[in-house]
Amino acid sequence: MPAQPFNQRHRTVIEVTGLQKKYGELVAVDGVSFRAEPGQIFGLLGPNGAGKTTTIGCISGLLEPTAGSVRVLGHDVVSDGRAARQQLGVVPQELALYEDLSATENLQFWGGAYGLRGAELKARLREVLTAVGLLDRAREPVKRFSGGMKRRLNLACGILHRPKILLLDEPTAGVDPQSRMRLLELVREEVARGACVLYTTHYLEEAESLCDRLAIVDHGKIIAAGTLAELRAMAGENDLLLLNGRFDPERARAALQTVGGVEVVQAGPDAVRLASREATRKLAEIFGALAAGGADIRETTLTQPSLETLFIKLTGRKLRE
Amino acid sequence: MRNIWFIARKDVQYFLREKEVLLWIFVMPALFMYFIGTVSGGNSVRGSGKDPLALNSLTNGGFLADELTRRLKENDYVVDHPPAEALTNYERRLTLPENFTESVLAGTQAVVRLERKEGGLAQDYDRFRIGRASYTVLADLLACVQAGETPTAVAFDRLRQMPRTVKLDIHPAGKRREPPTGFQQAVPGIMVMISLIVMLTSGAVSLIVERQQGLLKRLASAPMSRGEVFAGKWLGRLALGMVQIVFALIAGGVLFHMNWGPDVPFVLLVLTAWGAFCASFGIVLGSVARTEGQAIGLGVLVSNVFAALGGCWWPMEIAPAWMQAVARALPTGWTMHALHQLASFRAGPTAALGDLVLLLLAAAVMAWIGVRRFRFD
Repeated sequence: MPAQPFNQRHRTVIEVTGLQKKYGELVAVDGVSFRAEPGQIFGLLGPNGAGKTTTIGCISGLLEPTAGSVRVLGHDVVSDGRAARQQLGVVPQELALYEDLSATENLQFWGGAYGLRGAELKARLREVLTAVGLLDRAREPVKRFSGGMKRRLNLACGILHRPKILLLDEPTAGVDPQSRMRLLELVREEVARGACVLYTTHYLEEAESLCDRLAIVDHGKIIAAGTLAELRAMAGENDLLLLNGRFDPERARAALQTVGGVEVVQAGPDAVRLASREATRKLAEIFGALAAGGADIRETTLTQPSLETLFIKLTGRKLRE
Repeated sequence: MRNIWFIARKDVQYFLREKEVLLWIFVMPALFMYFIGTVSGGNSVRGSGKDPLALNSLTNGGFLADELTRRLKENDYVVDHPPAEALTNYERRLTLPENFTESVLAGTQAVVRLERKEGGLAQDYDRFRIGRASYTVLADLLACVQAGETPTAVAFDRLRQMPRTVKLDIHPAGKRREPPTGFQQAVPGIMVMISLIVMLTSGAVSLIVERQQGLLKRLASAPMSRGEVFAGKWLGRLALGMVQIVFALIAGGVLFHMNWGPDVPFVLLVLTAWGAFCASFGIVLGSVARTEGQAIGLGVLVSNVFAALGGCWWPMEIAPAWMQAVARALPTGWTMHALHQLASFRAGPTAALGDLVLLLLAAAVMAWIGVRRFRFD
């Protein structure tokens, strides 16, 4: 009987259930659950400190979950960690490379760590170096590389052994636009090969252009999840209006109740956030109501519906605040 | 095991690319051994064990000058009579006054002058030996006169044939133990000290750098257990230590004629246990220290204190009792004690067995602390 293709045998390759990670009293990840499938890019989107890297750490076996479970291709990462990790390719946020070694030597090391040896390793080295555009610099010490080149090599070390699951933790952080494009192309190529990619980022545009499914993470929890279309629908058709100035939060809330179709997302002494359909048409009415409530408005920002607006709607603040 | 060996092999390759590591493994030990071995008498103990002495006998030395020369030779000197211009080449010079025999026989005081380039214990030893040679000449002179003979070379020869009325009969109260000096002390001492320095600096710093750059974290996500990662790191450091130790053993023997004694396999066993201790200590320091500077500072400090108190700088056999007691509590002290027993005193493996057991225990305890404190991020 012919073997079934990988993505038909395993519909769910990453299964995270009720994942929790505590450091003393601090809850870094709080009940995160999601599933990812082969040939899919699953994005974890959230601000710095949201718990994305901790989630990746638990999946890669670096951190032991406080509660919940993580299964990789059916293998529990705690009780059957070695088998689970064999399927993973991890590309950490930091440039985990030996600076004094050449690109080839780094790849030989990480390939060897995943059990690649001899002719197979040699062949893969050439393929991967070609793919990341570093073949002509392969023998140079990494310390002479630019930031973008190091990022590409960092990714190459993670994909060398053809992992079925690729964990990418902010792989484009701090790189030039050209290197970023090349990196994103490489990620798409891995997905085309059938790999499942778990991708963390705080770049909205990257998440929107790359990911098939997304989970928005904040304070260790998933606050929204779905396809891009589903999330956009969640954001609704409401515009977001940010008013900066001086406010009495209680009076501002009361005043805005008089304006129809306006939802107060957040009200503070320095800023008020509102969600409203076609907010531009209601600006005069909103300003009038707030002025009557004693507000002093100094700056107004209008944002169209997007993942950003969804994030603001859900958390009351911007993704990068 | 495959993963452990893989990590260890890569670590050794990585270490041996570092210029600083190469310098401290292959160059500095040889330099230190040469300088310290030389200033602590390295060249005088080699070969015959006799010290060269220039005898500047001015005119008409006479038969008593010849008699004194003979006694000096009996006291482990090689007596030369160099020309006046070559006298300054000698570390020890003995000058006899003019008409030496004539003056002595006439009862006039004849001043014999010893000039020596260095002071300290070695000078005291020279004064003792030359004094002994002089007094035995005087004693024989008195014996000759008392017997009613005219003091001549022939009379002295006759006296020498006669049995002595008082004879000092020396019996060893145990095995003779001459504390190792020169290269016999410096070669093992420097080897032990520098292997600890390398492990506590390069061995610890490399671990800190790997942690800071996320390399250990990445390794923890590879399909190998944490125990394998730790064991690989430990084995790599042990292998590096053994490279250094084997080099020092060979260089010590070839360059400085260090005699490692008849039990070389046991010497290697002791040094392997020492290497294991150093490897474990390096990992502990690399896990406890937060920065490279901290690791280097602590590493150099600890290495030097351990070396000084453990007998790497001077033989513990000549140190005060309190210092010997401190040395018996330190791994450096156990190692040096074992090496002295095996190489210098030829006391056999049983005399060093206790030290070996203590070293293995210390290596195991330190490795256990290393396992507990090892951090991937």
